Amino acid sequence: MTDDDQLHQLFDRAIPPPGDADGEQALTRLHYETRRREQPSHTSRHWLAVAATATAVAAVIALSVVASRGGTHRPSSPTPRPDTISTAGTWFRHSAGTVITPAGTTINLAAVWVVRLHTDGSGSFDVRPRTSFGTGMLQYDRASRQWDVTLMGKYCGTTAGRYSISRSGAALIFTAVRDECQPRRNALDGAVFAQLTDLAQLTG
Amino acid sequence: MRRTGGAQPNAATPVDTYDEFFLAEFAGVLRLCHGLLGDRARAEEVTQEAFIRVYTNWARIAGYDRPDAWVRRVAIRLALRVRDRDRRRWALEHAFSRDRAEPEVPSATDVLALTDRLPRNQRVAVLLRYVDDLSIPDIATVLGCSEGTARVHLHRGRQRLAELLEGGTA
Repeated sequence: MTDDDQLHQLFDRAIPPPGDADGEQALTRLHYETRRREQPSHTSRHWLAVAATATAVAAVIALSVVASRGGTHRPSSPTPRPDTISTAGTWFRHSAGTVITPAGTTINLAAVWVVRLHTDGSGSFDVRPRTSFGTGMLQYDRASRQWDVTLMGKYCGTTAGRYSISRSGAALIFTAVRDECQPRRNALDGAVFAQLTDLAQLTG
Repeated sequence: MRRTGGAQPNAATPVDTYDEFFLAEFAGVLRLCHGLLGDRARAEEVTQEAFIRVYTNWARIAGYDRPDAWVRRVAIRLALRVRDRDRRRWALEHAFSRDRAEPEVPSATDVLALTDRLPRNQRVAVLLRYVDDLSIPDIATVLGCSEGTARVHLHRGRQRLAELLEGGTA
């Protein structure tokens, strides 16, 4: 008679358990799939695009007519506010490699990073796998135009690091101003993020 | 109860709570579906579909006593439906073929194929016990029956599977 332990072993061999990373990837795929299903269908998007184009063309024609009647339309150039956060949006990057902490612990940096920056000067980090990195917060300091970042609390505690965040073309670049936490500094200083336009980018 | 520890509803961060629930239950549900379907890729599809159904109804399901049992019931139902559909398709494709190919007889070591020969409830009970490591009360909750009935399903399934594994594949 086959006993319980033998059956457990047989099934374990036939169905190997998935790893933590498989679960994280599956979760990312699931969020992507649910968003995709919530989006309007291709046909609806097509007609919305046609309607938007038609509206835009009508607006251009209307402006041309107004201008041809002698109106002196002078486009106003908005004066940028000094504290305008031009980096607002959702950005991502895939990271790889390892870093060794002063205590000798090796941290695997293989992860998908998503950072959301808001116009009100707040922001958040979501790094998968969460078991290694967790979530984090960003807060904009308008006086210095720099961001205070709390992330990787497992290694850095609650101490914030200070970073400047700039745009270079379509990329977002983090530069460390001051960060006592070496693992976070290694992960973020010089890190380049791309704009997240499609959740498929996270699995890609 | 073995499960639901990290999956209590939290109105402040519902998505995070769902993520915790997903990460806690994903492996068990995936392995259960793999056992029912005998194929990892199909199992991943079914598992994803089951969790999407949880996600879209999370506000309600998070309040259940056993959301883990709920997602398993959904996954089992979906997996069995997929499996039945595959079998019907196979039967149709081979109904008029000249060679009348028969499905391969599983070897005594192919535990998944042998499990597939058990009656439905016995098969599910065996997989819940030996793949998903559930206790008898938990198996009863997932099957929606009494503990006594779950115990009978498991006992008969286990007995039959042992016979098949020892070579009595008739």
